[in-house]
Amino acid sequence: MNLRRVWVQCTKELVEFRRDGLTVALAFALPVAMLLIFGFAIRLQIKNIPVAVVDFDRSAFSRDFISRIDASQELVAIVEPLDRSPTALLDSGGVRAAVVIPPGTQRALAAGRAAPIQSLVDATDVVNALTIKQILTATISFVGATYAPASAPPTVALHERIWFNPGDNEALFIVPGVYAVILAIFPTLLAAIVMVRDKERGTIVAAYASRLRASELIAGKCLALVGIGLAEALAIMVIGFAVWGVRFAGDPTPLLIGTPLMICCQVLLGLLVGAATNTVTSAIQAAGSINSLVSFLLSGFLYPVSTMPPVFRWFSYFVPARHYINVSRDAFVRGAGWPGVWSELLTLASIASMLALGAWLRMRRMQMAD
Amino acid sequence: MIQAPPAAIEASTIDVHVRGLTKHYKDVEALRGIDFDVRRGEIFGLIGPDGAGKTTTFNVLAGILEPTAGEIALLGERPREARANVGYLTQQFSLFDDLSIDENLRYIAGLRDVTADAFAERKARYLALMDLAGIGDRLAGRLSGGMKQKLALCCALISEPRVLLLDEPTVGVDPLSRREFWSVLARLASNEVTIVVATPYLDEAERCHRVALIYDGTIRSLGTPAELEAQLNCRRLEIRAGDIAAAERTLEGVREGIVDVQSFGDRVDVLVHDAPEGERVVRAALGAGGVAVTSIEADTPTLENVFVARLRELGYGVPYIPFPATRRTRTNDGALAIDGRGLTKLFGPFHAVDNVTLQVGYGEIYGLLGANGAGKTTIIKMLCGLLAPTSGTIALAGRTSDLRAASIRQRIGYMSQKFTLYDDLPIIENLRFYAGIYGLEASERDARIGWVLDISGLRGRERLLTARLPGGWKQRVAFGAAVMHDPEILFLDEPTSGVDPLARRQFWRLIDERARAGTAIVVTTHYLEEAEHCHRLCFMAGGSMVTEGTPTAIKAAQPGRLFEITTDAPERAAAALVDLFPAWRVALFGVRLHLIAIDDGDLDRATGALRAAGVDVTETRPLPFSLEDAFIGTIERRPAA
Repeated sequence: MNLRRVWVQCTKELVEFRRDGLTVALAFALPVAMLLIFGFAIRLQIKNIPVAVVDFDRSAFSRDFISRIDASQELVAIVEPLDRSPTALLDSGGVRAAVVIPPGTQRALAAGRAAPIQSLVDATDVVNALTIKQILTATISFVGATYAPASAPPTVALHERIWFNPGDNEALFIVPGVYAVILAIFPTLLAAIVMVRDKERGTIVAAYASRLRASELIAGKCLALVGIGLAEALAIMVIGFAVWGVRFAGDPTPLLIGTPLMICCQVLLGLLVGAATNTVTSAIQAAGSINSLVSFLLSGFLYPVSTMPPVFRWFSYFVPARHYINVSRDAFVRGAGWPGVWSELLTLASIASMLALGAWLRMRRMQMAD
Repeated sequence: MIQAPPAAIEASTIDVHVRGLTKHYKDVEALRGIDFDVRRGEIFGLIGPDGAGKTTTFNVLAGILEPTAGEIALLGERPREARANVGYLTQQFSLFDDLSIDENLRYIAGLRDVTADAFAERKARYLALMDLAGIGDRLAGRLSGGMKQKLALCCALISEPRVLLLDEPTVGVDPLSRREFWSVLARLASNEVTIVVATPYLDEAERCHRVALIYDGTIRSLGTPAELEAQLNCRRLEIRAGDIAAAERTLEGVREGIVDVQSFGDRVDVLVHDAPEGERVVRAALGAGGVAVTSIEADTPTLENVFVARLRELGYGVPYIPFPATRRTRTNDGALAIDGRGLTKLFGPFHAVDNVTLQVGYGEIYGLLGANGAGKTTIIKMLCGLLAPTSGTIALAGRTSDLRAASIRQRIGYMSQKFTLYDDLPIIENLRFYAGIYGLEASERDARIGWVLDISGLRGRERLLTARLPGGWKQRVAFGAAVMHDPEILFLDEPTSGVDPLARRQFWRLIDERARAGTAIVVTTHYLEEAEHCHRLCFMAGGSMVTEGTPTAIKAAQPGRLFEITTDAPERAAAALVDLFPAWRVALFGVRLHLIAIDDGDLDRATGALRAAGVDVTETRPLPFSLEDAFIGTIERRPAA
C-alpha cells in the first residue's frame, strides 16, 4: 500500500465532503437533531399512570395500599365511587388499570386467609401492561404481608427495574444508547454515498485508469470518513454532556479506543454497500434500511438482546452497535472500565477486519463490471 | 483472458497493438474481433455509429474492462500494467464537480504519482495551454461544457502519459473551443504522444492521421482519411441550389448514375463515379424537378461522405418514420408561439442572459447558437417557464402568466441537455411514464411509443435498461419522449449532441416535419451545418444576442470573401497565416484552411507566406460563406469582454 496515494484519496474525499451541503448535514446536523429528539422523546419508563381504585374495604390496608401506589413514580391512584364498574372505567380510557378491593379484605388477611383482590389491566400496550401488573402485584403482596399474621409465609415481591436508574434521570440510560445508534447510522450512510457517488458519476474511472489499488482506495476513503465520524462523535458527546450532563462514569480509555473502532466498522459497512450498489438512491436505501433495522432492534438500544429468539441473538453478535452500546453505557453509566468491555472491543476489531476484507474483495479488480 | 503480448514487438514504434479484440456482454456482442496498430505520435481516430463498440474499445485499452478475448498491448505491456503511462478521457465528464480546477488536477496527479515539483510545473503549463490559467480555484461544476472538456484533457495530461485515449472529447463543445482542442492534440502528437480518439464530428476526424470505421463490433475500413476517401472511388459533386430539401428529394429519386445523395446544411453532396457524367445527370434531374441550381462543383469526397456511404452499404439505416400525428396541422396564422421581450437573468452579479428579445411563430424553427456558457440553456429554461427571468416578459402560446400551469405544459415539449429519462427503468417503462404524465389516450399511446422505438431502432429491445444504452441512443429516446405528446411548442437543447451523422440527419428530418405540422421549435446545436435547417437563428455571446436573421442573411452580412486553401501541412499553414492576419480570418476546417480575404491582395499574400514557411499549397478556391465561417467570424470579431 502506497501511503501517499492513500493520503491523496483521503484529502480528495475531505474536500468534496466540505463542499457538499448534503454530506455535511448528514454528518452533523441530522445526528444532532436525532440526539435531541431521542434524548428528550424516548422514555421507556412509565410515569404517573392513572390507576382506578374501587375501595369496598375502606380499611387501614386499603388506605395503605393507595398511598403506596401514589408514592411510586410509576402509578397514580384515583379513588373511584363504589358504583363505578371497573370495566367501564377502563373503557373510558381515563385509566390504564382498575383495582377492586372487596369488603373484608383486611380481615381476611389478618385471619391468614386468601384475600381476593381483583385488578384489571389495559393490555393494549403489552409492555406497559406488564409493568403495571408487576407493580400492582408487588405492592399488594408487600402491603398484604404487613397485615398478615407473622406465622404466614413471607411473600417475596420481585420488582424488576433497571437497577442504576432511580427514575429521575432516564436520559442517562437513553443518551449513551443514542450515541451508538447515531454512530451506526450516519457514518454508514455517508460512506455508502461517498463510495457509490464516484461510480454513479463515472468519476471512479479516474481511479480505475490509474494504478491506485483497491486497498489504497478503501483506506483513503476510510481514513477521511473515520475522521469525519470522530468529529461527529465528539460533537454529540459534547452536546450530551451540555444538555443532559452525561459524563464519564469511570475510565474513558475503552470508549476512546472503541469509538474509532465502531466508526471504522460502520464506515467499512457503508463502503461495502456503496461498492455493491450502482446508484446513490439504492445505496442510501440499502444503508438506511440495514441500519435502522439492525441498530434499533438488534443493538439492545431499546430492548435487551437477551430476550430475543436465539437466531436474532446470534445474529446480533455481528452488529457493531450491540457491542459499542455496551462500551458507551459502561463509559457513561456503569463506569466499570476494562473488565466489562474488553471483549466488546476485540469483537469490534474483528468485525472491522471482516468488513474491510469484504470491501476489498468487492473492489479488488478496480475494473468496470460487464 | 488476455494473452501475453509477444515477447518482442517487432517495431518498437507501435504503441498500441490490438489483435482479435472481442468483448461479449451478457446479451450483446460489443466487439467481434478487431485488429489495429497505432504508431508512436500518431492520432488514430475511431469513427462509427452509436453503439458500434467504440467506448468498449477504450475501456479495454484503458485496462478498466476485461476483454473476452484478444491480444492487447500498450507500450508493450498489458493494458492494466500500462495504466501508469496511459491517460484516459472518458465520454461523460470525468471531473469531480465539487472540486476546484486545482484540486481536480492535484487528485489525478496524486493517483498517478506525479512528484510535487513536476506537478507545479505541468499544472502551470497545461492550464496556460488550455486558457484555464488564473481560475484555478473555480469549481469544476461551474465551468461551461467546453472548459470542462479542456480541464478533463489537462487531467489526462498531468501525468504526461505516452498514450492518450480520448472518447468523444469534443461532444457538447462549441466550434471555437473544438478547434483549439484539436490544435492542442496536434501539438501533443508532434511531441510523440500517441493518441486514440473517437469523435462523431467527421470534420475533426479528417485531422487524424489514420481512422478506423467501426460498425457492429468490427472494423470495416481503416486507413488515412485520404485513403478511405479514395477507396470510395467516387467524385463528390457539391451542389448548391435554391431549395436544398427539394434538391435532395429529387436526386434521391434518381437511380442511374448516382451513388449516394447526402445533404449538408446549405448544399447537397452527390457521389458519382464520373464527374462530368454525374453533373449531366444531376442537372437533368433537377431541371425536370424544377429546382434552380446555383452551382455544381466537383471535388474529392469528404470523410463524412465515406462514413455515410459505407454505412448505407452495410445496411445501417436510421429509418425516417413520419410521426403518427392525430392533431390537425396548425396553420401559421401569424400568431406568435413564443414572445420573449427584454429577457434578463442574473445569477448573483453574473449576467447569464442580458436583454434578449426573441419571437418565434408557429411552424418556425428558431436556432440559438453560441459558445459554451453564452446563455442558450438559460434562455430556453426561461422560455418554457422553468426559470423566472430577473426582468422581461414572456408570452407562451398566448399566455403571459403561470407558464407552469398543467394546461400549458401539455402543449410544450422540452428536451434538456442533461439526459432526463430514468436510467434504472427499461426503455419502454420510461416511455410509458412520459405518455402517462402527458395524458396520452390509450389508443394513441401505443402508436406513439411504437414510433419512438422505431425511430430509435430499439424495436424488440424495449425491455433493455435505459442505463445500458450508448449515449447517442439515449438521445434518440429522449427526443422521442419530448415530442411524443405532439406539443405545439418544442424546445430542443442540443438534441444531436453525441449522435452519429446518420441519426443526426434523421433528427432533422423529424424536426422539419414537426415544423411543417405547425410546431414552433427552438433548438440549440454546436453543429453549425445543421443550423441551416433553422428558419431564423441568432448567435449569442456572453448572454447577449450578437446577430439575428435567416441563415442566408447572416452569411450575406459577412465582410470579405472566403477562400479555401488546401495544403500538405495544415497545422503549420494555419500557424503561418495567424501571424499574418487576425485570428478570425483564419480557420482550420478539417485539413483545409479557410481564409477571409478583405483586400484583393490578401490571397496572394497568404500563399506567399505559406510558400515562405515551406508549406505546399495544392489548391485555392473561392467558397460561399458557411454558417460556421459566419459564426467563428462573428464571435471572434467581438471586442474581448
